[in-house]
Amino acid sequence: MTVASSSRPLSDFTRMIRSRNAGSFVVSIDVIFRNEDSYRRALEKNVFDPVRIGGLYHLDPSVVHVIPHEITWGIKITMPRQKPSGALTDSDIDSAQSYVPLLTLTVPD
Amino acid sequence: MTDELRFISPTGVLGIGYPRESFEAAMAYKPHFIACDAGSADWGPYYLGSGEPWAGYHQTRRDLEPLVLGARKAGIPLLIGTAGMSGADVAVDWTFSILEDIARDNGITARVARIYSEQRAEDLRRFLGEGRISAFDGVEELTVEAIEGAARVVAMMGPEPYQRALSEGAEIIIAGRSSDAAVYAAVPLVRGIPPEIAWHMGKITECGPAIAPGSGECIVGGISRDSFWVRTARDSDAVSPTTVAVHMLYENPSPYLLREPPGVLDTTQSKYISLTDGAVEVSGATFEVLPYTVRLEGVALRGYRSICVLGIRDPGVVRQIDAYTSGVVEMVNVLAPERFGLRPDEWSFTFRRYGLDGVLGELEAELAIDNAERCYEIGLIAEVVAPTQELATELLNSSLPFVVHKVKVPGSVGGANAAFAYAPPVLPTGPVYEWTHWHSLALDDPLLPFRIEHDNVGSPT
Repeated sequence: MTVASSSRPLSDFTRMIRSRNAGSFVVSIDVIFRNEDSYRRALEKNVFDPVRIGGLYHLDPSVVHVIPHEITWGIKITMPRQKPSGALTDSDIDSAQSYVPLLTLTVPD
Repeated sequence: MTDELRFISPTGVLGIGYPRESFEAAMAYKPHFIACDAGSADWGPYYLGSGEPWAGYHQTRRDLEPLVLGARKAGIPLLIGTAGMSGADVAVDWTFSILEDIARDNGITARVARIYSEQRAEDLRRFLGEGRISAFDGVEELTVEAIEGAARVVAMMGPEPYQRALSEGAEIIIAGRSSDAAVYAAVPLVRGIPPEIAWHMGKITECGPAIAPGSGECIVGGISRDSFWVRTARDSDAVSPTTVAVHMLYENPSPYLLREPPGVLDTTQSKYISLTDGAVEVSGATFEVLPYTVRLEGVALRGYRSICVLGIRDPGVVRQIDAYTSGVVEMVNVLAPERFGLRPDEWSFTFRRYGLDGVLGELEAELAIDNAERCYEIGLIAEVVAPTQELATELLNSSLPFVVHKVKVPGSVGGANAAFAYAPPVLPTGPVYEWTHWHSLALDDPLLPFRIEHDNVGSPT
């Protein structure tokens, strides 16, 4: 017998999701959870699998760095910018909305 | 040294504004120094290229004046880092001129040091030849051609030039490009605070009220050999261990490690605890000394940009936006060489599809959905980059007939294809720069690439 599993959007479990440049060639994203439970469950369920994140950002998983930060129930994701900040066709100078592809992630119950 | 050193970090960037009452409340803590960052590279290469500040005269003077008056009245140092957004020499001098106005209008005097951080091409060539320059991850190695082609290059100083300027008698420092944390760590380090405490305090306080979300308050703190504390000048519950710890993540590739010129701070074992008066106490970091390096930041001029903001509301054009924009581009591709004699590598014409998939581009998850289903109106920016501002504006103006009506969009009713948001429709936005230098420079002497000049401002009355 299988039990139907359900998932809810990542943003249901977070206090803050933000992205910024970490220098002009790197984007850094912080996902801060509301409580320890959901932080641990997201880690257990491998929500931030570099292969999945790399897929969202069209990057090789080897350049996607996912680092849990226990004391803030936070996940730090660091990866190369698609193009350097302020390049002729750059569309988000300080990576302010680079977190948006993460909003498609869900956390299984 | 066992005594506590107290400090004020009034705001995240000079010119963004802070409540004066908050600064006055902060001064009641009897600080030993005031430090304030005045710049960032996060808003792109323009400020360094042009040397123009982000915050203008009034914004900057409004924030700087209370700091100058407060510091001089209390007889404590004031340290301003990355002056005028980029830390370019011209931005340091511009900030210094505001300081002169403040001194004159208030009848005060001060010994002021300017610390310059711009790098000459001949010095960079020598550093490159000595093998001192290496690229950060994802950046190409620096070449002699890139050095020759740069519009402006700065080096990001550590605390040592500040310490030298203070030891030479400066009361106020206006510095060029600086490590954010170094502006705050400079005084504690020279007064015997261990590097793991001083650098962690520098990182936590460099953005002012960022550790007290929503408060906008000035930050005060104290630092001693084993720990430091921070709090808002008023609103005693605005900082918490979490808000302080979260700031360690901000604009930093690692949540635990922070590379600074003399080494790397490691906060893996750090403790953040609440004190009874609303302050948060921080301790437990370590610091590993590494070969001394500073970051080089440099930009090159790529041309001049003019833009036209367009609204697309005709349902036929909304549905066929790709046919419309590619039709315009084809026509401009013929026009540019014919009428202006421009070579392909000298100019560009592009549509920025802000209002469709402009922010995320190919990462946009909604791309597969038909335009007609996801929007009824599209915002576009048509932009030209050309060798001169005049050419950029003329080429874009010459393209407007194509933009408005010359492209026949299948399914549209044959009216105008786009609305202009502004009169005049074409707006010059100035020079365009791109980052060319984002490299590490290894130094034997942390002072070597920086120049300190001392002056007296104001005249004794």
